[in-house]
Order: sequence, then C-alpha cells, then structure tokens
Amino acid sequence: MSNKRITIFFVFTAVVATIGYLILSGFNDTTVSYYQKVDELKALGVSAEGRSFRVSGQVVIGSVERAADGLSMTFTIDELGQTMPVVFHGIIPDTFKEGAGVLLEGKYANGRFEATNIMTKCASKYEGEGQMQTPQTAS
Amino acid sequence: MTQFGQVFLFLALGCSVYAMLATILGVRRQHQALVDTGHNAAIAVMVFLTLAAISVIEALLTDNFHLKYVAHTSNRALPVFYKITSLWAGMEGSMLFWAWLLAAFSFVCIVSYRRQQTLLMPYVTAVLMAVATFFITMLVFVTNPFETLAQPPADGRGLNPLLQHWAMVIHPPILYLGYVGFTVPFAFGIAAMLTGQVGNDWLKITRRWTIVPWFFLGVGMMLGGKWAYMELGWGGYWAWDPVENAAMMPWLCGTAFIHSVMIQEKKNMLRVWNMVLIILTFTLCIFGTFLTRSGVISSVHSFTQSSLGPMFLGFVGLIATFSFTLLGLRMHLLKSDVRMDSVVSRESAFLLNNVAFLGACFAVFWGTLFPVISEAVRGIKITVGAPWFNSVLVPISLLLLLLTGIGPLVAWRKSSVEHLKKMFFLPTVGMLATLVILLIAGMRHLYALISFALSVFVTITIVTEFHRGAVARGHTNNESYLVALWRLLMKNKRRYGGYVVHFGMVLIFVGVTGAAFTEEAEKQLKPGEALQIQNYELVYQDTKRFEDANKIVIESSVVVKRDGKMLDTIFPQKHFYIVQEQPTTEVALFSNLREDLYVVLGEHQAETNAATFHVYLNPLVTWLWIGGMVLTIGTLITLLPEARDQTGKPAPAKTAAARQTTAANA
Repeated sequence: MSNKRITIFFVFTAVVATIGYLILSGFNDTTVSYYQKVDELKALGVSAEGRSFRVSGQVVIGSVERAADGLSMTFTIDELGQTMPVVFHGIIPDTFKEGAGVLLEGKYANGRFEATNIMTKCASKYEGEGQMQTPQTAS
Repeated sequence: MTQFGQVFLFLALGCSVYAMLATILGVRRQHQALVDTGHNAAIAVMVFLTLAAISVIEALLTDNFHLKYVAHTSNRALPVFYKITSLWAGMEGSMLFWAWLLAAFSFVCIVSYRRQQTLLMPYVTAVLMAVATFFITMLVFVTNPFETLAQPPADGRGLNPLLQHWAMVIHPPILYLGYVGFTVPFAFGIAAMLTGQVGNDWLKITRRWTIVPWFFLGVGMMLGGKWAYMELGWGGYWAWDPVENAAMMPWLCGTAFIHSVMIQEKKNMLRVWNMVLIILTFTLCIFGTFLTRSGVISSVHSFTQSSLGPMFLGFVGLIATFSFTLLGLRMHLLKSDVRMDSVVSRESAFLLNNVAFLGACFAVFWGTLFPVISEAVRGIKITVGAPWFNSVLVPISLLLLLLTGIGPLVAWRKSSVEHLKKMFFLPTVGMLATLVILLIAGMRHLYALISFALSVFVTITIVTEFHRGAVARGHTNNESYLVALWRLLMKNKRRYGGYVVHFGMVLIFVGVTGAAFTEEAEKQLKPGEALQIQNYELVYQDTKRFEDANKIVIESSVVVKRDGKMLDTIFPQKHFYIVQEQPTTEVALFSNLREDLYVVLGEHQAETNAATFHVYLNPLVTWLWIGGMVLTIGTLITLLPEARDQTGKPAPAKTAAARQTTAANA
C-alpha cells in the first residue's frame, strides 16, 4: 500500500472508531433506564439512587391525591400485589385515571418512586393493546 | 362494491404471482410475448388494488360497519374527509395502501421503460412483483381489510382522535411514498446484477426514482414532527421513538446512496458499495414497516401492533439473504480498479460522508434494537432514552454538517494547497467571527456553538459557489449578474439544486440547535394572574366550554405580553372525544422567527375557574419548518429535466475558477 492509501485508511478507521466509541460510551445510568418489578426495586434500596428506572403497575383506586396547585400528585401503584407509593410533578397526562395501567419512568429514593414521566396504557378501543405515550422532556 | 373487495384482492394476488413468473421465464427462454403478458399482469395488479382500495373507501363513506376495519376506524359522526383518510389510519387499510402505492410505482415504471430497457425490465418487474406478492399475501391471509363482523355494531369506534389533524392525515401517505418508492431503485439494482449489466446505466435510470422517495421520507418525518409538536403537547417534535427511528434509518442510508452514486458516475468507483447501500436502504424500508407494524418495540405508534411481526421479519431476512448472496456471486463484475488519489479530494470527502451517514444509521439501529437485544441476551429489560441518541447522533451530525461545507470546496482527485487556501479563507473567517460573537454574547453550550459556527461556514461556501459560478458565467456569456445566476441554476440543476438542499439542511440544523436553549415553566393560574417566562408574561383570562358532534372543547384564553407590551391572545385547548372517551391536547403557539411560545392547558377546575399551564419557550423552531421548505424547493430543482444550451450541449463552464468546481457537478 502506498502512503496515501495508508493515510486514507487511518482517517476512516479513526472516524469509525470514534462513532463506535460514541455508541458505547453513551450507555450509562442517565441515558438508559432499567425495567424493574416493584419488589425488585424495593429490594435495591439505597443502591438504586441516581439510576433511572421504568416500572409498571395499576393505579390503586382511591390512592390518587392531587395537590391544590394542579401540578403534582401522589398515588400508589400495584403490581401483582406489591405496592409502591409514587410522587409526580408536572401536567398530568390526559389519559391518567385511577385503576388504569401505567408505565412510569423516574428514580427510586426513600421508598418512593419519583416519576418524571407517566405513560398510560389505556384500555384501548383501538387495535391491539394500545399504549398512549405522553413523553415529557424531563432531563 | 365492497362485497367484491375480497375478490379484487385474490385477483391482484394471482396477477402479481403470474407477472413475477412470466417475466422471469419469458426472459430466460427469450420469449418476448410471455414477458409482455407479465408486464400486463403487473399493470392489472394496480387496477385490482385500486378497485380494492375504492371498495374500502366506499365502505367507510357508507358507514358499512359489517366490515371490522370500518367499525374500528370510523364512526357515523366522523367528517367525510377523515372517513376517506381512514383508509390508512389502521393496520389493514395501511397495508392495502402500501401495496397499492407499490403497484402504482410499478405501473409508472413499466409504462416508462418496458420498451426502452428490454434487458433490465423483465427482472425489474419480477422484483417489484415479488415484493407486491408478499404484501398482497399478507392482505389476503393476515390483515384482511374485508374481514366482516358477525354482529355489526350500530356505530363504529371512530378514528383515533390523535390522528385527527391535517399533518397526521398526509404524514402516513407521504412517508409511505418514501418507504415504497425505494423498491424501484432496489429492483433496478437487483436486475442489474441478475443480467450482469452492472455498469452505470441502472444508476442513471434510477436517479429520480431515488431522489423522490428520499425526499418523501424526509418530508414525512418533518410532518410527523410537526404533528407531534402540535398534538402531543410535550414541547418537542422528535423523541427518538422507535417508529421515528424506523423512518430515519432508511433516510440516512438513502442519503449516503444519493451521494456515493455521484462518485460512481464521475469516477467509476464504489460500484460494490453502491449496490450494498441500495440493498440496505430497501431492507431498512421494509424493516421500518416491520417496526411500525409489529409492536416489537413499544412506542407512540403502537396502536397498530399485530401478528404481522414474524412474517415481516422473515421477509426482511429473505430480502437481505437473497440480495447479498447475489452480490457475492456478482462481485467479480462489480469490482473496479480505480483507486483513490489523495486524502484531500472530493472523493474522500464523499467517502467520509458515507461513513458518517452509515455510522449514524447504525447508531440509530443499535439504540432502537438494544432493548430487544438486551432482553434476549442478558434478560435485562431496559430502554434507551433520547439522551443516548443525542449524545451519539449530535457529534456525527456536526461532522456531516462540516462535510457539507468542505465537500464542494475540494476538487476531484487532489486539491492543491493554493486552491484550498483560496476556497477556505472566507468561510473560515465567517465561522470564527460567529464563534467570537456568540462567545462574547455569553453562549457557552459547546455543541450549539459548533453548530451555529458550522452553519455560517456552510452558508458562506454555498453562497460563494453560486457567486463564483454566476460571475464566471456572466463574464463568458456577457450576461448580467442576476441573469447569470438564474441560468447557472437552471443549467446545472442537479448541482445547484443540491446546494439549495444543503442550505435547507443548514436551516434545519439552526432550528434543531435552538432546542439546546429551551426553557419551561409550569403554574396554576386564577383569572387575571400571570406566568413569567424570560421576558414574556402570560396573563390568564378565562376558560370556556363548548361542544360539537365529536367532542367537548375546553378553551382558555391567554394574553401574551413581551416586555410589558401586549402582543396577542392565544387559546390553548383540551378536547374530549366523546365516542372514544379520550382527551387530547391542542397546543397554542405564539410563534415568530426568534422563538415559539408553546402553551399547553393542563387541568381546569370548574369551581374556581383556575387552570394549570405548562409553557415552553422554544427558540428558533420556525427555522426547522422553513428549512424543510427550502429543502423541498432544492429537491424540486434537482428533479427538473436538465436543460441544454442552444448549442445542444450541456452548459460548459469556461473559466478556470468555474472549471475547478463545476467538474464536481454534484
């Protein structure tokens, strides 16, 4: 190979390697969230701090308490008999209601789940088991 | 006519299978009459699918709830317009629409080329019909739009209220034009390999057939973004949702193809690579349809998940295996012995562009599928969030933006140092000046700084290219500057139209970069109270409630003030769809070139008349949509037929300055 071809080879290898590095280094606790069962999450305790999780369950009927300012609420979710209190700040999704299945995104601290994003699984009247997402820009 | 719908589907299936076999057998046995019947059968496929589509529309318009599809996607009170567009609102209908589009593309293709390209066309038709056969088989046996209900309901369930928005009405068909359209260049590529005619002919024929789907895929994504922005109420337009990624992947790969094709045409290099790119692009189109339809990955769009998944995955595997095996067998024909001359050349800039586009495509692919892989391999369920995609894709995009500026400045083969100095001087000065100004203004966001500086760099290179070309042309042809500028564009549509597309991309970058500076605020207000965000003040007036046949509307009026001056009154709404028992958000926007004030109505308490508002201040978003329009104009220019000078030859470039760059003829 001539010098030129070697240089070209190195330039392209460098670009490919950088992209590979970006892909791998991007995976960390702030960019990836883990699905956990409610009991698994409770068992994690303190070691869960700082990581992002996804957890799902049903909103326990009668558990929803909305703050007077309309911007936050607390409720309890139930997943196969395991319950966990949840606190949420933000505009409550249109489809959120007691008894509904929800998928929560957020952090687990002090025995409570601090949700930054609520997705509701509406008992969809559409095809399949629809899941209407209400993404938030919680960063 | 609806009762015949099923029959039309069967006839279409029969014709597509026949067309596939007849064209192949005919050309193998050199039996032209047989090939002709194959082409005609392919045309019949379009006729029958058109009739099937009309049957579904008729059923929708006549509220024929015997059909499961109609009962699920429409209802009596739905406006006629939405009844028609319900054709692509659900699974079965959109599959029919997909197949119909493919048949329509095939029809145009066959009518245009069956007489000219007698060697390639039988194979092209065979490939198109093989794909059509898959879709029609799915329609007949898996997702049949003519499936009936034993007990038709009195009224249908209605169209998903989220889909009742203009952008959502045209978004699916436009996106499908993209997904389906790439079948044509793919078919030509395969035909080229099957016949051994692997020269540049198939690329020349398919140039427009590639740009058109590429364009529709891009516009489809833009419309999807516009819809998400206006309808989902979370303040953004792109969430790296799997289905968004599904369209992004073939677009990235197709963009790489559009660029690298130029190297093959100019330098006869990269013939294998181009084949790989078009195969990948088409495979990703089908894969994208699979992601949308299968529900393998949960997403906003998952209201159309179904049992189709495994079939699609199998089809994707089949396409990839067949295509790459064929490529392996034809490798010896495709190899070319032209080599790269220099690191600093147009060729290597193009190659780098290809690597970056494919790298971006792979990153999106990996991030989208990682949850599935992780669960299968490690048993750990995870999701990969938007921050991951941003951390990977933003740097790659900035590299691409840089290349957009550099590419046109370096010459083919090898650029001299003198030439480079001359070409890079002004853009570099502009870029550095932008950096200094922004730093003095207090901007500290690294990626945003780079993005704005590069946007200026690229803009100057594009303007300089037009200017140089116009001066050179004006000089040789004795034309005034403006006339020369216009004729320059009109006589080199592909190249200068391409620059216009690049400029559209720059504006899109500017718009997207604004997202780095988004601010938000949230507050419950009583009438007369105000919410402050930057120098804006939003004063809540009152909330009204009214209803129509479909929905109940709750509407707040909010006065927008900036620096104490009243500017406008806006009306964020909440709709509650009665039949579907589903609320939706209608965002109110106060928009200008500088920023969007984006207001979402949260909860309204009837007793106190207090309302909660979530407000976003999104800088520069309007430039994203303007960029989309510029991109559209640029694309249209490249699609116009190439004009000729009076001499009958394509416009030559006559001065030295112009020759150096016109050789590119991008």
